[in-house]
Amino acid sequence: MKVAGALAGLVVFHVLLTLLDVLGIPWHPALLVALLLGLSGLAWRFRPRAPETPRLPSDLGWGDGVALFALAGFTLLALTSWTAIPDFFYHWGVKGARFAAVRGTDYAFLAQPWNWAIHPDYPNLLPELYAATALLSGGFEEAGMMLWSGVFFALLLAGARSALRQAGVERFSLQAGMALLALVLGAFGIGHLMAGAADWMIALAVMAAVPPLLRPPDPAGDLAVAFAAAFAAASKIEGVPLAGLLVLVQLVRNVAAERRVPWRAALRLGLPVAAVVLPWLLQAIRHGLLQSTNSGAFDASRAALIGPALWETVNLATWHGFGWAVLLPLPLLFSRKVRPVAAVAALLLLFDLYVYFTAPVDTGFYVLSSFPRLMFQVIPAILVAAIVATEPSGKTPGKSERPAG
Amino acid sequence: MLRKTILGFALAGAALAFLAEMGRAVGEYDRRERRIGGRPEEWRAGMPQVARLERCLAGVRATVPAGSVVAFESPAPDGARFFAWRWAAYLLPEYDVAPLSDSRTADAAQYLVTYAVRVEDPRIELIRRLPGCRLYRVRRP
Repeated sequence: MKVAGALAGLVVFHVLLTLLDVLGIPWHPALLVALLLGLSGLAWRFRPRAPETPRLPSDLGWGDGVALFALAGFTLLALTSWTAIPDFFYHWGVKGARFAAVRGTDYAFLAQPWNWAIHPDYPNLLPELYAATALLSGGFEEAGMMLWSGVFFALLLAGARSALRQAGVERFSLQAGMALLALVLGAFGIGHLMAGAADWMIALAVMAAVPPLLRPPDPAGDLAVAFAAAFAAASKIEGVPLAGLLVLVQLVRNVAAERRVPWRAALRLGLPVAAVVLPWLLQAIRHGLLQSTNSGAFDASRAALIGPALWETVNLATWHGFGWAVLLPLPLLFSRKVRPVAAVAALLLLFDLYVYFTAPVDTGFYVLSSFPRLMFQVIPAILVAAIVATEPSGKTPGKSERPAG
Repeated sequence: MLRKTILGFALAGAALAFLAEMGRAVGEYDRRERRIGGRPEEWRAGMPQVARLERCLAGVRATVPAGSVVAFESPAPDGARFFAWRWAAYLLPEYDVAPLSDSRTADAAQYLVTYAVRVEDPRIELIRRLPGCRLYRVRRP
């Protein structure tokens, strides 16, 4: 539950900042500290009662060490800003610095006609985190902002570990899986300049949903999926359809398990997402931020442009061959163990394709500039699902703990 | 056994990939101050081109009130000009930095920064020469 709990905390923080904006209350550093202390207090008060003193997992091994090495290497380079995504300078960082300067979401700034370039309709969690970091540390420093990517990478690895342990894979699979995932993401993160990118958050949201999607639906799992979905919806605009997919898949699983409409599960799944999406949408409409480039008419003739561009992105040098993992959701759908994860990945990729067939922008350039990062959002979960799906049945499983969240 | 073999090969490939990317990035970072060419879309933090722009824009803060609409112009060709503008906006987050090429900027801009390019217009009044650029006030009737 730890990764889900972290995402829940970030979602609640985002909702509180949105509330402050609506009420016209500036984000004073002292107020932010009070909010964070309050959230921490609530988390402590309502923490799950652990049966024993928390300690490091007893099965740490070589793979975890390799993962830590990859995480450290990526993060150290990120701190130099040399591997920062250009979008950090073009819009994420601009928004974060601006929000810090005015101590709030500057909707008037976002609504300026030339600021179509900064995706004014995007959800604002990442710029809010940048702004809060700047306000609490006394200034907007790039290195501090880049650290967030290290945090998201670490949480993603923690989520992957939880999923592999919960699935009861053997020790070699767990260690090799951790090492493989961290090295692939670290290599792409460095080579494709992903420090400061919001795509880490979407990848993290998908991974946080993997443990509950790998086990029979239960209330704790519903909440974990709900907060993963809400976190995605607060992070990037493609996080909104992802949130819908996560909620839909978990709801369908609940219906299949209970053979009736589970209203409580629907509420558990829907409320956190609604708490994020509704205010975002209302503010975007109210301030005229929604962009016409988000959608258009379906044009099948674009396949001639999309196909070659997709081929090029899957073969991108920075993927070092691992881009082909994006094709795995299809065969993974045939594995009952990981079908829900494969379904989420496949549906999200289908949605991305739909956007390419409809968005009124330069299609070829759009695919080349965005699809590598859209692949990055799902490949971590796909790799974990592939390891779980190919785990031989009947082997003595590794130690698996209580539901990992 | 086959599964472990495949996983092992994948792991070896990923390790080589990671080390290659780390090595390339560290080498590029070490040489960043010698990267004197490059169009704005190729700029990265720490490159001399960004430092030059930063020096130019540092003087804007001393003169222009925060929150002002500042138009920006650079000599880069059309596509690259967009990226130069985005870097200027990042370096001046407390201002509304608008591209001079946008038709809506003319009505809103209160100041103009020209970076390595001269602009002649009767509506602008030079108020300060900065390192590598000029700061103008836009006259309103």
